[in-house]
Amino acid sequence: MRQQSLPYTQAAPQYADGESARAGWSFSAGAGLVLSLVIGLLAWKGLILLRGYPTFILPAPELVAQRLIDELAGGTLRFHTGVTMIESLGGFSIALSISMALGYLLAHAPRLERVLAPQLAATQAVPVVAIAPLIILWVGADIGSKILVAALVTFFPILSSTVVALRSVPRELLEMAKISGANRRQVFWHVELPLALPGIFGGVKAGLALATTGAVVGEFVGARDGLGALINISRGLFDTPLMFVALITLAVMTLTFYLVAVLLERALVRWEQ
Amino acid sequence: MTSDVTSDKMTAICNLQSTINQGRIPMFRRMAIILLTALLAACGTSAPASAPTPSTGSGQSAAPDAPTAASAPTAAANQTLREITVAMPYIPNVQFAQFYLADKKGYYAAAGLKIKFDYNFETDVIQRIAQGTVQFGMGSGDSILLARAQGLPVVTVATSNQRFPTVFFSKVEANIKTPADLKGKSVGIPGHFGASYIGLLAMLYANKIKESELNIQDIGFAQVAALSAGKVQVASGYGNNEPLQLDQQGIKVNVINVADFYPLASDGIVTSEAQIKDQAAIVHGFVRATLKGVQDVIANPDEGFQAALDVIPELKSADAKTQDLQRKVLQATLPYWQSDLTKQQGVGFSDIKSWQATHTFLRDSGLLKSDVDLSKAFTNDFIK
Repeated sequence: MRQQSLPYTQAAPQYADGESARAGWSFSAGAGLVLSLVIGLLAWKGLILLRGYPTFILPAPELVAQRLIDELAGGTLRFHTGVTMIESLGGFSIALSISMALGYLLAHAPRLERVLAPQLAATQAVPVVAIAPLIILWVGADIGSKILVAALVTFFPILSSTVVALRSVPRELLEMAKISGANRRQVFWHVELPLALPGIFGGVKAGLALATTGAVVGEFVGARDGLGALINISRGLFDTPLMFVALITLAVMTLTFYLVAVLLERALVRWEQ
Repeated sequence: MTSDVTSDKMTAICNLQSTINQGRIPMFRRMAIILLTALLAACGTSAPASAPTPSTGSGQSAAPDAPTAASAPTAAANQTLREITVAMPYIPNVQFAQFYLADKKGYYAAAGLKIKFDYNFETDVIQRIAQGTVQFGMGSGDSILLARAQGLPVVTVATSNQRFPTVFFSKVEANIKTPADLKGKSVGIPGHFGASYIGLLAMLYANKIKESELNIQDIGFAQVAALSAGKVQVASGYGNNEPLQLDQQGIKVNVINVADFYPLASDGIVTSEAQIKDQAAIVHGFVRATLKGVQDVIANPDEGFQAALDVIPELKSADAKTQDLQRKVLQATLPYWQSDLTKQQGVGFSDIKSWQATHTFLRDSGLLKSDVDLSKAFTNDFIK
């Protein structure tokens, strides 16, 4: 996951050339997505035909598709999706800014890191489902608590990849920059950040995927709005197709986030190729 | 079987330990192995604890107490007990003392059953019953109707709570005593689903109050803390639980009972249509044994509490204050099991009037999109 190799030794975007060359016959990323979707749908439908599951256990794909269309037309799904999106991106942004700043600090202050590392690791050791009820109790039941939960799960992967990426910048390059008269800020913007960016992006991508999980965990514990709340509501009504609609929306949302991050990564890390 | 596996484990552990003692393994690895050993030992001991007493049902309630005179011979004669799983819609709690006591006294064993308890969310309980992965569970009448509307073939075979237990409580100084007083107040419920939400809606329905006139907050299952911390003015709970917790904390509360305003069908023993069709005898045996447990707990709550302690080691090792609270919870649960109707018809009776009322409310509120055949949703066939 984490791209730690130095940019000039290997191309950062993983699935561009290397893999297709090995595979012998190549297809684009879009075709791959379509293919995997088709395989998934066929397996889903096949399972139902084979085992004859009732709708409340596993609804048929066409039933879920119809429900998805209905829900999209109704507007409530869009509303719930919007809420979860705001919570995830809000949490992610907070986590990103804190962990970038803290990551820079820790990368340059090993002694500070030794003091803080246990606390930071502890935030990750506590299962977020277990503290989400407490967070709701402390912060309140509205959107803020969900943003906080999302930030909490997102924070650590970004932080640790930032620290590792900054540390892996070759010392000689830093020395050289300093000898050439660059100040700390210039060193950061022109040497450290560009070189650490591929590694940081590893954490960013993992963090984005986790942010939706965090938001949903928060909603699951107690919320009126959001896809996690919709899952709870559909559960209460024994409406499994609606639950699938919420789950699919969630998956599409997370995938979109990830895709945006990949595109951003390509745009920002392009210079190195 | 289990004990063989365990003894293998034990031998392996002993071998490992002697290797460690002989100093053949470096220190840090020793630490890891010791940790692993502790884990293995923990897995190993949980199963065989119940082995010496096959007459008592579940592994958890395998109390060392001698089986009662009544149950001992049947259990000895009946070696092949049918294993069934009963899913509770909550954590292990004294509110299920009737099951624990029926198990402890060997009523299930006498019916040829070996009981395993497990604990889920109510909706999951009902889905698993419909699916057939568990045979029995507890679920509330409104859930049964909602589930049946979605094609889940579940049936209530005995009603435990004759009154819907959801209540809304608030600090006395807030002076919130009637449903009308809830207008404009912040009301904390776990979420827009389940007994709290349904209870709230039914109460508002009965009093012609709109949902939008209240400030409903989804606070998760932290109602007591939310209320005592002043995060919400009113919170929901079970009449036999949360208000007692607050009382113990010295917080005086006003309680509004949903059941005083609308007769919703409440918690009962639920099974599947297939279970009734294929194994009616098991359903009958299970229901009768449980109802015998209900009668015993009513007659002697202390005995019921003891049975719960045996099944819930966390409670057994808890401090006196916690135990005292749970004793009160059980005491407050007993009135829910009884009504004028149960005096005539026996405990476990399901009242068609409450089912009709539940159906009317769910239809009118739009939660139920189509009519549900009530004659298939519950039955009193098994309580006698």
